[in-house]
Amino acid sequence: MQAPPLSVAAAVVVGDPATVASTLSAIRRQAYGATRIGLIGGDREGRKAADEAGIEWMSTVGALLSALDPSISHVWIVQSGSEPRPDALGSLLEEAEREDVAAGIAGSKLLSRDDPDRLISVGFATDVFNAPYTGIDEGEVDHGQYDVVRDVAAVGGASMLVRRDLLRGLKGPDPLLPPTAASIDLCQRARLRGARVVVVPSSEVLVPEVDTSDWREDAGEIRAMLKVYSPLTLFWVLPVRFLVGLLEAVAAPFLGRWTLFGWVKSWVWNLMRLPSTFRARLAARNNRVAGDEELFRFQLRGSTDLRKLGSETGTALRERLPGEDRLSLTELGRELRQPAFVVGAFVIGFVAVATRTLWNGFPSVGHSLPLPASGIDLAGAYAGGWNPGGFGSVEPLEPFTGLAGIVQTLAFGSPRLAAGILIGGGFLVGVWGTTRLLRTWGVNPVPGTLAGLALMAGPAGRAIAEGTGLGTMVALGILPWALRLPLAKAPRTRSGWVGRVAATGWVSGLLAVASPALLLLPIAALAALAVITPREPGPWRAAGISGLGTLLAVPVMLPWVAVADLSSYLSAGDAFWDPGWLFVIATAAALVCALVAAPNRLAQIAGWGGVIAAAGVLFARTAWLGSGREVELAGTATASLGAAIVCGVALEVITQVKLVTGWRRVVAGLGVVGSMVLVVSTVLVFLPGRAGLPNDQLSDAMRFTASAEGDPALSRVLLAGPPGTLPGESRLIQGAGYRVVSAPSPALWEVDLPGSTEADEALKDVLESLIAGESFRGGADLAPFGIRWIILTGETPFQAVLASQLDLVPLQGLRSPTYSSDAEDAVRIRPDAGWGRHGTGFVGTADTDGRVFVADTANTRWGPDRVAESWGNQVSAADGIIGFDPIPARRTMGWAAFVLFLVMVGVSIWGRRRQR
Amino acid sequence: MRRVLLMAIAVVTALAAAALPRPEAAEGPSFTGPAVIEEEATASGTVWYCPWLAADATRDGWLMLATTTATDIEITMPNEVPNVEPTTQLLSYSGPSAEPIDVGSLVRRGPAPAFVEFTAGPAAVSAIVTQDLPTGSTLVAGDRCTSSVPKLWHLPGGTTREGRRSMLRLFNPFPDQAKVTVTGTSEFGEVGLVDLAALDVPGRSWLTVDLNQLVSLIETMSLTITADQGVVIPSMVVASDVDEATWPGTGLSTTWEFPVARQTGLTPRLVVTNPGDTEVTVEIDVYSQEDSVEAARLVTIPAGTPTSIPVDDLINGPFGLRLRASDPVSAVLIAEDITSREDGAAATEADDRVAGTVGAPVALRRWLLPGPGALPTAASAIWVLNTGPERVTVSLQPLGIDALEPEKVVLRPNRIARIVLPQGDDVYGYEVSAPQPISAAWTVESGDGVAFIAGIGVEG
Repeated sequence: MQAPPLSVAAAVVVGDPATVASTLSAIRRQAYGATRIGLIGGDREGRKAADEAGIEWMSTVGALLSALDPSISHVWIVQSGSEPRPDALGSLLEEAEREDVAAGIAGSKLLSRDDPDRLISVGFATDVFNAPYTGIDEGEVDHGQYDVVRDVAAVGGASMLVRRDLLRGLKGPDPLLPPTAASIDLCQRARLRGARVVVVPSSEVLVPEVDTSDWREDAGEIRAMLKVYSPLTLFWVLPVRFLVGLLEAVAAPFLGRWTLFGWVKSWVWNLMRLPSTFRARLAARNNRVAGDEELFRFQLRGSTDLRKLGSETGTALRERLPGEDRLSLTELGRELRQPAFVVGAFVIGFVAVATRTLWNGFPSVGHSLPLPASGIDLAGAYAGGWNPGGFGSVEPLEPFTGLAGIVQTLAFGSPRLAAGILIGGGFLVGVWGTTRLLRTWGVNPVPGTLAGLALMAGPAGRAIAEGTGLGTMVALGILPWALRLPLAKAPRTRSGWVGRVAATGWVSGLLAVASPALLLLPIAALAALAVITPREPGPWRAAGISGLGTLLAVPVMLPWVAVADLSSYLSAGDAFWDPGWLFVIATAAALVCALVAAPNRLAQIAGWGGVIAAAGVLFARTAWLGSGREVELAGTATASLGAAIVCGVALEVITQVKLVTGWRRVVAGLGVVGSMVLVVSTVLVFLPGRAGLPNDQLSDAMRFTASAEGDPALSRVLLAGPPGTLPGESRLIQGAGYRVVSAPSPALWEVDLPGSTEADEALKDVLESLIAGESFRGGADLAPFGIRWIILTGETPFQAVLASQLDLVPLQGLRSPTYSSDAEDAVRIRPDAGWGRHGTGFVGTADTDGRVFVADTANTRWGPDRVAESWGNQVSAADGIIGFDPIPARRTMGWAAFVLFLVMVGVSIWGRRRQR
Repeated sequence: MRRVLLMAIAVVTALAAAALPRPEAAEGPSFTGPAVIEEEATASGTVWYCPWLAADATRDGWLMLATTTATDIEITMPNEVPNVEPTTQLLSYSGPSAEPIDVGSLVRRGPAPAFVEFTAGPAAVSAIVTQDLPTGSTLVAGDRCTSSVPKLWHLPGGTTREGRRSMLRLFNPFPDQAKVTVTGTSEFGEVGLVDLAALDVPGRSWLTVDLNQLVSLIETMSLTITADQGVVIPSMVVASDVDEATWPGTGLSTTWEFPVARQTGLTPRLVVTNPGDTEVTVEIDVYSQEDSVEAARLVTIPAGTPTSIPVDDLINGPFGLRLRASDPVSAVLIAEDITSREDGAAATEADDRVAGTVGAPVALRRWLLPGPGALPTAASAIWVLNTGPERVTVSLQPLGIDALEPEKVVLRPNRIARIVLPQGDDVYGYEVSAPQPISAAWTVESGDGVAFIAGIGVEG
């Protein structure tokens, strides 16, 4: 090649000082030699490396520029660690100085130093936020497919040849920026000056892998935008960049990445360097000959980061979808036509429609009540805070309230969003989990998905929803995963085992938090499977892993598991589920037919499912043993799981045309009928759109309180009626049901009632006197309890009692018989002037000398400066804040449980990654 | 084999589940409404409802309060106009007291039903209405007020015969609207009160029904008032041209004691209603200050009808009586001026007085009589009946503004005592007590008006 009459100075930018020598060696081997070689940056280590190499050292490229001989026409900027091929510089010069190119900046094709055939970049485009986009697939091999000199948005900072006059005008690369961001910045500034930026593929440089996801690169991209964009462009691009980063920060953890801190740091870094950025901006935009439109020329639409996020999400989902084939563009069309895809799309649609009303929040019926306004308050009430059920107590709330509080907090505090996520998410997770579980035994996606529908929305799943077992509904979705994880293929490495146990631990923990009564089901079911298939090691291993996971799950239920009366929890109510003939006959038919017609392995699984289903029904009917509602719900969930397994196997059997022939095929067909009865019955959940939950009964009855005079939240409502019509738990007085709830709308944390307290006894005495006809001003008698309204939820003799009270005014035009008290001070804090409800406490105007009475159960932890008064609490109003001081031990246990859960999640992710 | 085993396990488990017993259904409520308290003054707070009160240009009404202990009192008079606050008055007594409250000092708008609340007791209320007529006579009507509020009331003693006007007052002091059904029976059988089949009595209001507009020329009429929704307190008013008598609704009892039956020339009769399905045999015992006759009259009362039983000829002089029935009945005593014309027919006179009162279903050791001596120009007398086998010493403790020593009267068995009270001594009520059960009532005469007023038993 003829060397053009040009003189080049090579500036090696020090990154890793250990790699300087190899770069210098490669530069010295250039066919077109550099007139001068200098080492840039790296501080002391860079200076030392320069001394050892016998070359000059400069702190910045700008400093080198000042020291260059006027004969130097170009500066070749090379990152340490890069190894240019011998003809790299010559190719750059030749192409850059071509008359038809006349590039201001020319960059090399970058190849992997570890695998020289693999492409790293051939110049790159950016999106509008300056995020680089190479257009190269991961692992793409260089076949010369990109070998054409062309204009690009920027070139890799590992090797770029810059005209000296241009470089001087641009004052060199920005020393504050990391390599990629610096090269983007330099190229953009060059293009603003009218210079061309081209890539010269014939110039090849071997480079080490560069992590462009470092927060410094993000910070550099932001700084580069601030320097070059017009104010109008900056006006929208900065906020959007901010939001894109936030969105990525929210979604990334689900993909095993954590970008939140980096996102914060990148913006804070720029805020701190705004003055220098502004000065650099002035220099960049002065004497510009092009505008933003030049910068937009090589930009992609949209956001590279979001595109990458979407790609990662799709990859993650595809890896978890059953099916051996991974989706790729070429197979997408075929995959779309696959039944699994169709069924999967149907399931998503089914769940969306079946749970559509729950996105407005939980209905007020049975043991379902809406979430309170603050998820943090709910979680705090669970972990050592005040239990506001009835007149309040320190009895622990059930773990599901803690879970709901955390979900609500993560859902931006929205109770509606949290309700939808819990139930809708539970549905999706449950269907998906059933599919994955049954895949263990080769059941294909379609039967597996249909079995998942039967799990969540079949007769048993519906029974749980009709019983308003919110926690059990969520637990039902987690249940298949609690079995699937231990049953998965044995890990190859120790870290894999650790991760597997941790995964089982946190999934079992989640299951137990949603429904503590289901904690032992996975290990029991897997132990039963091991007994059924004794020669297979898998189920035995799975039972062992599940046992370890169950042990790890116990502390996740803190503080509830440490302080709750477990006996009372399991015995409250009566466990007696009537499964109905539909469920029994359909499941039995599917079971019998599967047992008869299925191949051995599937028949065993069907039998296992049948035993689980029968055992579930048995447990759900043990009222005679003193079992209560929670046992009934757990038993029903067990029955649902068993029925789903049977259903899935029965539906799979019919597809095995080669193995199931002749009369067996006929029998299998009957099994399909039974299974489809279970599946089709899910339409009863689909149509109403409440996930099977009953219709809201209380909200309409109480809605009027929201528009009442004063602050209705400071008052309570006495509900009276048959116990089945009252929300949550209720009390009895002479056989008539009643309970108190908060106005204007009780929340989930009021579902359960504590054991009878002094306040409850006092209320009972009042009600007794009303029933005995001894009292005639019921309103005044109930006012000290904060009871301002009385609503009758059904047929109750209380109606006659209330009708004979002189100060209870019936309200007309309401759905339910309702009475309003004429009495004054029917509020739960007295005097109430200036006070409002806040969580489980109150906030108001501070009154240094004032004291108020709080009509909650007496407890010494109310404050500040609490004094006992009757069955309630008298506290100081000095601070303007009144509340319950959380119990430290329980609060600590709550945090410990949360941290343990996160640690197990982290370990499971780590174990999974190491496995790969 | 394994398949069979699995199937067997599943089947056995399912059968075991099917065999498990269903839990017992929880018992329902053991009450159907508020307990109906006895018509007695209790030691705890009570409310007394006085349906027949009025104060206007010509009428004066009086609430006679009496208490044996310190108590706070609130008098409430609802306003007939909807959504208008009732008239209230608060009082407080530091000890045993009796006081007449002039209703006219609170409201003067005509009908003024009221209720009186006591925070402690025993305490009780009577109500009296007086009117000075243009003829110069004085109308006096009154009776005890009611503390019990059952859903079912009996009101015997109405009449729409010539010369008499009967009115039914339904008082609803509660906020809830009451739906009431009123049925009636007479000597002719069931009375067609179609218009009273479904009456709405607004909350904190009242309704007055002129029975003469609905049925006429009925000699003896008994009403049954059923509150289908809410509660009402009824009272019957029978008026002549010159006088009125009023009495509250009652329950049913097999025994009724009337300490006063005849007084100063009035002709008494007992109106008994048998609401049952079978006939009832009634025996009437009469007691005077000097004599007594057990089972002086024996009457069989057909099912579902009222019967007016004359008792004037059973004994001489002032007397009281006791009714004993084979089944629960309702009863009221009515005393009227009835003189015979030359043709033997009854004739009303310008001084056609009428009085009526309810009886006491049970004899008690203590009675409150709010009001005797309270009307400044009226003459009052206390009547005590001892139907027991032993002599009793009856103590009459004045409950006036000034605390006075009790007067003691020895009462022989099966006798009445009539104690005429002095006027103008600032005594406005009495507590009557004895070591053995008795019954007590009082009468008041003012001019040509007379009223019989039942006493109020004290619990315990």
